[in-house]
Amino acid sequence: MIEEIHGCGFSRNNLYFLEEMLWLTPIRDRVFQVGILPITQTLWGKITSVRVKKPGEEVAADRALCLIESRRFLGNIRAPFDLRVERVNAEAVERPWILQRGFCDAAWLCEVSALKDDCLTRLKGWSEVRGEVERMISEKGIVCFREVPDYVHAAIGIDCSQLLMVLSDRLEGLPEGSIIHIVADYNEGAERDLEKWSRITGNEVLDFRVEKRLAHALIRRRTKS
Amino acid sequence: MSERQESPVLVSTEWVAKNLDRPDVRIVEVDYDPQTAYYQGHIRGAVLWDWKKDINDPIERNIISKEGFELLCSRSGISNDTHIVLYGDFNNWFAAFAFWVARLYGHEKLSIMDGGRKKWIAEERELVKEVPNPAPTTYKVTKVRYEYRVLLPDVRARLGSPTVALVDVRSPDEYTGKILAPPEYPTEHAQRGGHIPGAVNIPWAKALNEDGTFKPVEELRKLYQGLGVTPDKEVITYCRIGERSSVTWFVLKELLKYPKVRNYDGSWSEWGNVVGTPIEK
Repeated sequence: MIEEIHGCGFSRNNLYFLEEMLWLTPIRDRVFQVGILPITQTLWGKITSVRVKKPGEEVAADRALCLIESRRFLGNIRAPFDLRVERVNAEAVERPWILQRGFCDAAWLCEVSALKDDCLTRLKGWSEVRGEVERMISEKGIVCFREVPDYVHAAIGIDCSQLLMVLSDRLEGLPEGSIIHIVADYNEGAERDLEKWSRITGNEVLDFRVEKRLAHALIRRRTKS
Repeated sequence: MSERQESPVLVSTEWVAKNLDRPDVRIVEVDYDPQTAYYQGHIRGAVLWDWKKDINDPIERNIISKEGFELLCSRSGISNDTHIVLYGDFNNWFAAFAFWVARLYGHEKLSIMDGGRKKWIAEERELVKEVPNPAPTTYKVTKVRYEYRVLLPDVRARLGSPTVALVDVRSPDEYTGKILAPPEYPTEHAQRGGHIPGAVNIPWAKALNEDGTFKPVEELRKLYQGLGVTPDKEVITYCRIGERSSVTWFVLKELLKYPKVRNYDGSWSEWGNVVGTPIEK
């Protein structure tokens, strides 16, 4: 039961704590899996590190559950209610950007148990937050991909004949295998040209989308092997 | 108490929390990107110095002028005897740059908050959004320490000198010329890659612990001396635009007390672009 908005997936069965960009899946009585909303791809950039409280630690409501660092964000994510950390997803700590993959349930960060019965009071269902999420996505030009880009390059206003040259130059400066999100003005032949360019250069087009008359392409730089 | 803790140039987050209301102390947050840092919340009472707008000349590529520094301090409520405590985003890179500029313009009571913004946040200390409006002062620069800075012709004149140690603090890939700029700063690349002939590569981050605090003095001494950067030499630090090299300048000059340390703020974005400068790969 996933609803998709501009590539960002939201489970209708989840609970949300938008203030801290969290989704929560109830898995047992008062036990939840907790993850980060994919819209942080655009808002924060790729997460580079996450430090979560250890299993067994208790965290009061509004105190830091974890510290997140990305290219454009450094901050604590606060607990929505008094809780105890039960488990931490080691894979998400090792490769924290998987938390931001386009669909909500792509990766969870930790499992927590609520310490009090009133744990649900600040959480909202999808139908309650949908409007606010849609507004945020629209106002901030958010687009989500299933792979999280390492870099973003805005090429708006560049003539389409020059765009592929700019793109090639930009990719040359990136490590092999890295992923870049290019945003450019949309023109009808863009996707076809990009595919042709991809075949010639060996760079892989992972996704191509048009939102609000802007073309969004996700490209992985070729590797030599 | 360790040597490091006694050093007045470095204060802990705890010291700042205890002293931030003192009238003789001015906390300054120095950011590369204030929108994602200062304006999201800062230490109570801290004024903002925007690295691009406030510490650099608004027109030519240069650090702020003497008069500009006087105006900046005056509007920040800083007097000549104020104790300025600097901290910021990106592991204190830009706070260290501001420290170097303030030292160059002769300010004496000057500290960096160890661990910067990251440590303050990790410790869940108070952050506020209110922007302070300090009463203006009349700040006067009384001496300029030109010897803390070096320009391209002076670097070129020192090439090959056995009494000079050039320290390239960039990443190994930048040092070897494999990449022309860090991928996240594509517009700041140079025409050529590599390093200044004779420079030794000691990335800035080697001086820091994982939490962003500086390593103990003895460990730092071993690190630099072990690679030939000894206090008997005139040391020149550089990076791409002079901010990461300010961190290393701070370590060598202020923590290790080397007598002659200069920051080459033109750095690789100047050296790698000027026609005819020699390059090693």
